[in-house]
Amino acid sequence: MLRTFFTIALFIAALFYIGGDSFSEEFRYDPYEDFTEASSLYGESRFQDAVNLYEGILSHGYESASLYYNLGNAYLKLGFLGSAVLNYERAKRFIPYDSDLKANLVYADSLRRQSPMEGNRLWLSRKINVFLDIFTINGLTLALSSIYLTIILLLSSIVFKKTMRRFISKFVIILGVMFMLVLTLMTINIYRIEHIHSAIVLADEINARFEPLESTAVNFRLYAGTKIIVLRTRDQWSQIKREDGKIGWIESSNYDII
Amino acid sequence: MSMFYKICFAVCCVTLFFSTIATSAQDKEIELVLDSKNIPISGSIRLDMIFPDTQGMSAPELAEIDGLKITYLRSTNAASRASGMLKYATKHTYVITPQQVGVFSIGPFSVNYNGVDYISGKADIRVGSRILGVSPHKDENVNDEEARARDDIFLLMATDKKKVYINQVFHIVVGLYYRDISITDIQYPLLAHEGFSMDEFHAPQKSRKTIKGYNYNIITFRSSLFPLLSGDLKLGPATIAFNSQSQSPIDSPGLGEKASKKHSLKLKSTIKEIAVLPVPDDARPENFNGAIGNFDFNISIEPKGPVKVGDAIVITMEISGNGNLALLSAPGIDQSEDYILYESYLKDEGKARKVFEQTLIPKSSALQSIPPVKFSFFDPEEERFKVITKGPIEVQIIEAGEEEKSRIMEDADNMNSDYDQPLLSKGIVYIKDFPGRFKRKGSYLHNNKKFLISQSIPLFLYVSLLLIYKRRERFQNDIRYARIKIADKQARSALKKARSLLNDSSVEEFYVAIFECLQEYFGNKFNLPSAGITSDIVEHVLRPKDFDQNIIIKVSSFFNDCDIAKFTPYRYKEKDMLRSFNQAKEIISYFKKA
Repeated sequence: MLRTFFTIALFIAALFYIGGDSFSEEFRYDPYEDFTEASSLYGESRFQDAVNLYEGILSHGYESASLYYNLGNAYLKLGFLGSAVLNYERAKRFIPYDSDLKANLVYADSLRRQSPMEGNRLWLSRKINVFLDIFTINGLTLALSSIYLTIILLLSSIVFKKTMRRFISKFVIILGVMFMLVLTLMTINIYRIEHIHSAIVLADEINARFEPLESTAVNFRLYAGTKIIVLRTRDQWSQIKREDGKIGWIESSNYDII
Repeated sequence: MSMFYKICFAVCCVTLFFSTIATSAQDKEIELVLDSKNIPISGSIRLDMIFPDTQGMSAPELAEIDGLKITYLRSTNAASRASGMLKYATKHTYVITPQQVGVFSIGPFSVNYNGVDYISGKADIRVGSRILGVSPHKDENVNDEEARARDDIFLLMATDKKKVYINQVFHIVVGLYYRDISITDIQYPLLAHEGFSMDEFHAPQKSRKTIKGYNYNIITFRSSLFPLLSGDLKLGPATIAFNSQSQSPIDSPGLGEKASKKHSLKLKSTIKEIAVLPVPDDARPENFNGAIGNFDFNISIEPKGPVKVGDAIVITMEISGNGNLALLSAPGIDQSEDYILYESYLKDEGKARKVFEQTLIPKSSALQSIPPVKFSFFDPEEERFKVITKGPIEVQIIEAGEEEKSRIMEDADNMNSDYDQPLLSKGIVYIKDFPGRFKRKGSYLHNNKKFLISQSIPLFLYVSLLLIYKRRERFQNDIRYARIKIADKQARSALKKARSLLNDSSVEEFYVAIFECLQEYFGNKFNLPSAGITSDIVEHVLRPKDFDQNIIIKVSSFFNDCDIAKFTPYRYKEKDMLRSFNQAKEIISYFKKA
């Protein structure tokens, strides 16, 4: 018995040794200091300075929901609607349920110029996206982990309490179904982030053309803050899809990926 | 034969020879066939060039003519029987699109093919500035279709109205009609629409129609637009570009089939005239903000129950119906001392509806109702203004606590001071003071090595627990398994004891111990009662089990030795004891491996 536990202990130690690099990773740069300073600059209405500091934190490779939210606010104050919406959308990936963020995003959206055809998005597609946006990937991962741990706990209790086997088995089946559902949601969300390149138009007004050439005909117009999906890129041009399904080519410098 | 006949024969031969030469050297005429000699600047016509006595002739390049754009369409072979003789001809078809007004001549020109000169005549085309009649209605469109029914390909444009009010939405259809040719790479039409605001064309629809006995394929593009200016406005022409793919009459060497050729084509439609009327000033409602169409208007509030002073009431205003939704703005709500009214915003928009939301914060419990909201629009069908009034909507406002009240008033003051600032400086919720947990960009829990490893631990513990429990359970329930498992352990312990007796040179006790060790070992290993095990019993058990015969002899001899040593210990020295000890170890080791 002792030997078994020794083996387990050794195994766990080995696992943690493998994962040691992530434990030992230390941040040399302190983003909290810059964040506080940027927030006080914002309070003094020095929005451009605040933007510079917030962007500095991002350039060091750090991100947080509040950072994107504040950056969105600062851009909105400066009148850069596209950048504001971009950062709000980035914040939404961390805190989709945050009421402040929702309010600001709605406000920014109301400032956005819309093409008349833009609203013609499928009702079902819109509802599905709204539903999927509720869940963050980390939230889903934690939910998945909790269900998994509960299943393990219940299975372990069967070992000791065989009389409760049937009763516990029902719970395990329900949890198993929940696990699969959450796993599906998580897979879809990971796919959306990693493979569907959602972006926000930054330029005030741009023409989406039929071909990646300046001389070709304009298919439709896009305005700052419009959400698009980047389908492919070719040299300095990108083929994009608007939410109503219209496809055109724009110069890649006119948008940024969320 | 007389001299006269000889001379006649010679004259005939010479005449025939020269007439043959003359015939072979004669030029052939190219037949030029035009659809029409008079066309408007926005139109196009077809030119057929027929080369007699040719087959599979490639299309000649025509010289460019200033003011005309000549595009090659296709080639066909024709065969006819005349006076019992089969005659062939090649017909090349071109589309001529005028670029400017004037009289233009095509030809004469010559083409040399297989040593024969083909010479054309001259064809004149008169291009006028006349705009073809406005044909906005369906019937007129049918007339257009029938008028063009002999053409292989043409472009028509039609609108559902020819008289509209400013900002009134109407629809346009651009149809590309073609027959007997294959067309590809069709681009969206480009439409000159100065003075109009136009949506993009919807995805094209394909259909078939028989016009005057000809079967046409039709590609239809639809869109909607509204005029921005009043007066007589011109719409069009619509231009569409595509490639036509025609079977070349020239055989492709080696392929055994006709080669297909692609030609870029551009067609223009006629121009439509639209009479745009201004919205009348008579009886225009005060709050009319340019809505043209036929609409319905509804209003609702949330929450519907009692609301504390300072809490938000969201007013939802939905406008639905047919008309120019793009230009619709939210109906205004009157300002009051009893509440703060935020700017309205567009919440949702569909094809035939627009939903606005406006937030209202009650400043005191004196507020009894939200004043009526009026929405005015001009109905172009009935040619009159209409006003829909909704409300007043009753609200129940209750007093908030003191602390909340002071905060609300403070907010209200701030809002009033912000009121004159630019739009962007109000309306957003303030920044967050706490940064939350910073993480590396793009790092998520699901790809965090530490997290994934920690997730494997519970599973590992569960599997270990399950294995331990199963083993223990078998130990308890399966005696044979338990005895086999403990046999080696007990044997090790007994050998240890025997070793110490060997060191003490206690012969009798040593042999008793080592005998019992082997008895116990075989008892456990083969699930036998240990006390009764003798050399005979062991032999009886081991023989049928295919063990090595030498080891069976060794076991038997070991048990006999032990029996003798127990009764005559004085005959056994330390050397014998060591030999017996090693023998016991060897036997146990063998069966452990077996």
